[in-house]
Amino acid sequence: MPGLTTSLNIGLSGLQAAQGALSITGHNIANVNTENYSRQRVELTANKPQTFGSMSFGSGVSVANITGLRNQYLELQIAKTTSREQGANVRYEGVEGISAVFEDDGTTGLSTLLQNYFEAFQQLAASPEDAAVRTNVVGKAQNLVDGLQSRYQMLEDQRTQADENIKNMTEEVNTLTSQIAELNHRISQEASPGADSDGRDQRQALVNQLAGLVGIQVYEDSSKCLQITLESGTAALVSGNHAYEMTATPDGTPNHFATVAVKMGSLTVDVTGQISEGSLGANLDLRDDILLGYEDQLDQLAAGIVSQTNLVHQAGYALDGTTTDVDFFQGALANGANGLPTSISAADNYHGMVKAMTLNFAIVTDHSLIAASDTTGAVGNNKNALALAKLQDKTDSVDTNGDGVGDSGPFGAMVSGLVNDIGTDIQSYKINSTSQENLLAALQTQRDRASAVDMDEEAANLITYQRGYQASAHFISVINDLTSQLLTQLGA
Amino acid sequence: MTLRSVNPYTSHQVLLDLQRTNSNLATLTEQLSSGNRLTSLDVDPTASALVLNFEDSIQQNKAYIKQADSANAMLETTDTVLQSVNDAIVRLQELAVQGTGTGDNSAAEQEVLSIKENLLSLANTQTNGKYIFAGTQTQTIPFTSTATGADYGGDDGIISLDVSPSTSVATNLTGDKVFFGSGGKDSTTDLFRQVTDLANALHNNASTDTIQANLKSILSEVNANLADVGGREAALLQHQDNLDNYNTTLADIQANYQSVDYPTAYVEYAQAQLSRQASLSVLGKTSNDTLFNYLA
Repeated sequence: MPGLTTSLNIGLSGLQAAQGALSITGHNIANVNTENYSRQRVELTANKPQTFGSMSFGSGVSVANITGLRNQYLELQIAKTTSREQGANVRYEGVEGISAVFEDDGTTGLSTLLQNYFEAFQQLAASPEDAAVRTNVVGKAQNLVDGLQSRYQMLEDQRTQADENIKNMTEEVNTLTSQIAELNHRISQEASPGADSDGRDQRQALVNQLAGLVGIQVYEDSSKCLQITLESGTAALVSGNHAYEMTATPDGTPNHFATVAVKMGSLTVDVTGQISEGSLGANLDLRDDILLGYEDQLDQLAAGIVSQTNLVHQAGYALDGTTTDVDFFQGALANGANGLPTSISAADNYHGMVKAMTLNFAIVTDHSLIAASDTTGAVGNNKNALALAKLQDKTDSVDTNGDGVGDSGPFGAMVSGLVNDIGTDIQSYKINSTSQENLLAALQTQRDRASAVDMDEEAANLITYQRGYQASAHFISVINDLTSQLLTQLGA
Repeated sequence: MTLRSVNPYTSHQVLLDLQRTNSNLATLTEQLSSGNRLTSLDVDPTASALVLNFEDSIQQNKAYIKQADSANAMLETTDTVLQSVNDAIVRLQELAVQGTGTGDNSAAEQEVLSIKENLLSLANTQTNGKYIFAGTQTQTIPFTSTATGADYGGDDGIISLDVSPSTSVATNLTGDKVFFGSGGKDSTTDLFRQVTDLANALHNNASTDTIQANLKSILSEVNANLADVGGREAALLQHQDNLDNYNTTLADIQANYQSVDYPTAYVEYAQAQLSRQASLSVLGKTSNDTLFNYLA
């Protein structure tokens, strides 16, 4: 039979347990708006009973454990979906940012500029001897060159911006991975499994941020450390309490775009093409693939225009009736048999054509060199001007597969094709981003069901533990009365 | 079973839905205010590309209409000149008939010589800075007067303009064909030669019978040329009409892809607005409701 002192201790254990539980309830309420916080629960357990003969008397309560309520599978799913959602989102924003200049407002769009260019040759055909008409041809051709170059520059700027982002994001990745490694260390030292719930929440929040930057694979090893590798598996980012540094080093190409690598000990693994998701992956994709693809299309289009125009123009005769074999674009010396500068290669998708595109300086200074005639000594002959204007409808005028042979529709179709490509890309990234967003919201709602703080629940807990505390206090007061009565009666 | 469900105000799904309704409202507002359904490329990429293609065709047709205008301007000038040439030949025929067998023909001779000058200036007509009867030598004076008629300095080049991807129209008649006729220079169909001969015949009181016959055949050739030019002009006008009609059709189709369907867009707008108001009102009611409000 336990004595009164034991009973006092039982009361005390009740007070302590209720107070502990209240403090956890308070902690939950305080963190109601903390991102990624998992609600915590006190696990109470009855103390080991005292045995008197055949009877066991309970000896109160103690706090067995404080656990965070979380579903690790969901957490990992959320990280993965965050990667995809960010990836699609950044791609969407990147392409959407450049789309406006490819929309045609009927005055400055690429297809309008092309139309004006060929119309200028038509007008030249109507009045080949008219100096003003020749000036117009040069002006419209210059507008076309400027229009192509400004759009190309816009793509270049966007790629450079993506490269800047990549450099900044690798820094962020390093900060995050080293913090995760630190927390890994802290959690591996926890007193009992799951005791460091707040540490885990923080770590998971960091993992989600990291996943927003790069596509990763995460798993928890036996020492409760998160092992993080790139989704492609080519490199590890965090292993135990060690984070591997990600570097971005400018390469040797003219753009000096950064090569992304991970330093694993003495080994440096190039992962530039291995990061697919997250905003870092999306920026790499924008820089090295999506925007580059649009640039290629512009280069091919420009190569088609330059090559076709030059070949027809070379065959014609200038206003003086004798000068022939003059290039319209670039300078004759620089051009090869296909009418393109020799530095531009078909195999390289005519890369650099737009940048290099320029009117033949001789024609800019002397408009009479424009070859409207197809024969010697006939100023009113307009056949070559007609042939130049007719290039507008010529099919197979652009080489889109780098084999040096034209394989496209007319120039106008190339422009609308590019517009269609950009629009379709935006649309598909948008749809992808939306569906990932939906999935993420669903996963987060699921996670919230398990882990989020519910104010109603906490309010109920608060009353329960408050009452528990009050009752224990009352119990102690009763025992106290008993003790004092005993002392009084015994005349102490 | 009861699903543990947290406060809806923090529910990601509800917030996401609200954001979507907002962005949908923004798009609809832009569409309704601009009248343009394709506010950005991703609304309907295929339609965006199609609209561009239609716009291309429309602009190209407009350019062809302008080309037809240029061709027409040339042909109209040619037409006017040929009318004048026609009138001059008729007058020459009258003078030739009057001059046969009468005494003093010096007045008639003077008139014939001035008609020759007039014909020369008609043959050297310029429009838009080019000689229209010089073939492709548009910067060279085509006809210069000689003692026996005139010399031709142009060539036989035909200047054509494209008025559709597959159709072109010749915008000129070469001077040698018009003024030297089918026989060529110094032949019976050479107008300048015949005029000079007529002046000489009148001067010498010689017979003008042969010249009268020659002038008659020249007149019929000029009339044939007039008919040719008139035919080309009529065909061009018809062609321009067709291009105009075609453009109207193209613009209609283009508008189908591009224009906002106001009733539908407005209904969508009203629906989106209603759903926004409903979500906001529900959120407002539930968000400040927790058990804490009911505890003393």
